[in-house]
Formats: sequence, C-alpha cells, structure tokens
Amino acid sequence: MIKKFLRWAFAPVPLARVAVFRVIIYSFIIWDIFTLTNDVIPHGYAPEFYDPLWIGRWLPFPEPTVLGAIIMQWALVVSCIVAASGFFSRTSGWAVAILFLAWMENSQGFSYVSHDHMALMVTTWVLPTVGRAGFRDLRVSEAAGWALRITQFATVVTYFGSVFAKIASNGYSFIAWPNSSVFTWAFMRRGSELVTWTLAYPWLLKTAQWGLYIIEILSIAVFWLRGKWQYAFISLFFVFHLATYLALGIHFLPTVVCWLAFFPLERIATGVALLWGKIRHRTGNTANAVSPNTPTVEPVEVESGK
Amino acid sequence: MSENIPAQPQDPDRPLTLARHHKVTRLLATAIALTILTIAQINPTNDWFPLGSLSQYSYGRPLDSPTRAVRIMATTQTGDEIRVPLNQQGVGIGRAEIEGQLDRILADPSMLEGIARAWGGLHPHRPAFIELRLERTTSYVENGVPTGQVDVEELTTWTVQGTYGSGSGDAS
Repeated sequence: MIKKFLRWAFAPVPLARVAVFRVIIYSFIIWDIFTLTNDVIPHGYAPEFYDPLWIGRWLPFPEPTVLGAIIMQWALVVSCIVAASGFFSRTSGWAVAILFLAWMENSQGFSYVSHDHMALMVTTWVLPTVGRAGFRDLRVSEAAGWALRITQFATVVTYFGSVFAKIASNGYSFIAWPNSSVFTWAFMRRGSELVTWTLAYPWLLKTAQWGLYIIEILSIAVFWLRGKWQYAFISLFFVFHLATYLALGIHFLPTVVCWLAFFPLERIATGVALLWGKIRHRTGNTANAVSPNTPTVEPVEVESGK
Repeated sequence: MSENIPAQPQDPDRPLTLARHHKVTRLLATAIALTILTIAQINPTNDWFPLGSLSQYSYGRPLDSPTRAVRIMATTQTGDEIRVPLNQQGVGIGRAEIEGQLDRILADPSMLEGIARAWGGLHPHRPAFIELRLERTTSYVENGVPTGQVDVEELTTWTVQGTYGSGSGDAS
C-alpha cells in the first residue's frame, strides 16, 4: 500500500515535460501580474487599507508602496523570463516563488482573499525542486514526477476542497448551495452587461450551480482515470470553464493552466524541434539541424498504468 | 545536483531516482501543507493564505434574500457626483476589499482619505475628490429574480483633507 503510494507520488516523468511546463507557468505569471492581479501597484496609494494575512505578519514582506510594487513587478518579470528559459533553474525558480508569494500577499492582503491562485502558487514552490531540465531531455525523473504530481493534486484539491467549504458554510447541507441563488447574488453585484441577461432565467443559473458542484465533487476521480479517458475528463473541465466564461464572464485561468501538468507536454518540445529542423533543412542550413528521420525517443507513459 | 546524476545518461528508460532523504523531505513538506489546508477547510479561515479556506462564493444565498453591496460616491472639485470605480483600474481598492473591512472604516472614516489619494495618483488629470460618501445598496429579489427595487443607505461621509493629483488646476 505504502509502496504503491510512493510509486504514484514519485512516478517518473520526462524532464522535458517540466521544461515545457515551466515556460507555460512562468509566462502565465507575467501575464497574470499585469492583468489579473494588477492591483498591487494601485494598492500602494492606499496603504491604510492593508490588512496583512498571516504570512504578511510573520514574514518580512514590505509594506505596500507604489515604488516597491513597481520594483517587485519588474523583478518578477525578469525572474520569470530567466526561469522559463531554464537557466539557473533553481535560483530563478525560487526567486519567482518568493516574489510571487510577496506579490500575491499584497494583492490578497486588503481583506479580500480569492482562491483561484492556490494551485499556481503551489506550483511555483515545487518547480524549482526539479533542478535542471532541458527541452529535449527525455530522461524520466522522480523529482520531475513529484513536482508535477503536487501541481496536479493542488489543482484537483482547489475544486474538491471547495465542496467542503460549500457544505460547511451552508449548515452542513449537501444540497443547500447548488439550490441557492448564489450566482444571482454574484451577478447582481458584479453587474457586468455581459451577464445581467441571465438574471431573468434563475433556472439557468441554478443549472450552472449544479454543474459546478457536481464537477467539483467528481474532480478527484481524475487520478483513477488513465490515458484518453483522463484527457477526456480534464477536457470536461476546460469546456465547463469556457462555457461559464462565455456565458457569465467568470474564468478560472490560474487554476486552468495548472491542469496542463497532466499532459505529455514534452511532445510540444519534440514537435517544435522537428519543425525547426525542417525549416533549417529547407533553407539549406543543415549544420545542426535535427533531421526528421532522427529517431526520437518516445516519451515514457508512466501514467498509463501497467 | 547529486540526485539528478544518471547512472546511464543515454538510457531514457532508466529513471533518475531521488535519494531516500530527498523523498522524505518532500513528503514531509507535502504533509505539512496538506494538514494546514485541511484544518483551514474544517475551521474556515482565509488568514492562512495561500493554504486557506477555498471559500469563494461558498455561501449559498436564499432565493428571496436581498443582495447588498457597498459603493462610494464622490463629489469632485468640479462639482460632479460620480460613483467611485472600486476596481483595479479605478482606485486599486476593490469593492469586496471595502466590504471586508467595513467595521474598520466606520470606526475610522479617515481611512477613506486613501481612496482620494489613490484616485489622484492613478488619474492625476481627472478632477480630484473633495467629499466621499460610503453607501450601502439593497436590491430585492423574489424567487431568484431581481424585482428592480433598490434601497440606498448612507453609512458615513468623509471630507477629503489633502490635495491629490494635478486636477486642481481647474478647481472652483
């Protein structure tokens, strides 16, 4: 039993998968700090509203200032670029983890805490533990396996754990939340023109609530699925998030991006290398090109369960 | 790092294993994080961010309960009445961030000075705020459908003390 758990927790995956995942995650963070969590710089103008969270009180994070936030933002951009490129992977990765924690502590430290960044923040703390990982390094590694497993787990727990919050916050009832009018409440408050039409159709909002609730309960099943069934199941989440985004304007992108930890991302690197090889071949510069005929190592599908 | 030195670098099927103590450290860290996260769900707290309660939108609302929201209205130095945009681009402070510390603000309305300062800093060429009114709106709902009736209640007011932004050029 314990052995089986350890094999699952440390199931080796190709290092190239981590290399590609790093590009995705660190690029996403750059986009995130300029669009989703871009309240950190404005927060510097109104520090009297700062109400630090536990980590903000116990760790020496700077008090919110405009200049401090601008410095932090550009330090994050630089460390994300270095970390995505794979140079000094541990140092740059830890720099991102610490800076992003400080950034998010400020963003969430004004008395409103959202939870859509949980998996992303956990990811920034596990990615540096893998160390060097090349884009074409198809050797499988337990360190890489653990890091991606933790990302997967944090992603799923974001959904699964919130079911407990929904039951606990509604008098320990299992059906009170999906039967309530929580989306009506949310959309009346948000008041975006895109979504207000839905207020006339409470059954639509209730259906969406049930859909979300059921998909959250089922989320944990992803670990018992294999191969194409697993990908199909995850696609269900992508479709659900796309639908709620189009209909209601709510996305959960910081969590959605972490779902990619389930996919054989190293194939992107192999594909890009092959394409690059073909382009170089065609332009006549074959010096260092990867020939399409070079036998590439098929990624080991450790998750296909034997 | 030592644990990543492969036995046979050319053989991709041979996993790069982790030494036992590296595995123990990783499992311990995971166990601690998971314990914090679990306790935060049972005894909901946001204070343990990022491992706090996964509580966003977790409070179900009864089908007939009115929807309350807080807003800030401002009188600008040009005499206009505007609704302060409580978001990232507006004043940087979100509405939920005002609602989360309503008690603090009501106990010390001078905190609202920060809203005027942020507006001046972010929009230096727009007319500055000279007075702020914190209001609560209550929108009524019947069977899950808004009735359209909205009540407005004034919670507190604040006369801005400082001069912010360069919008003062066309004052009075």
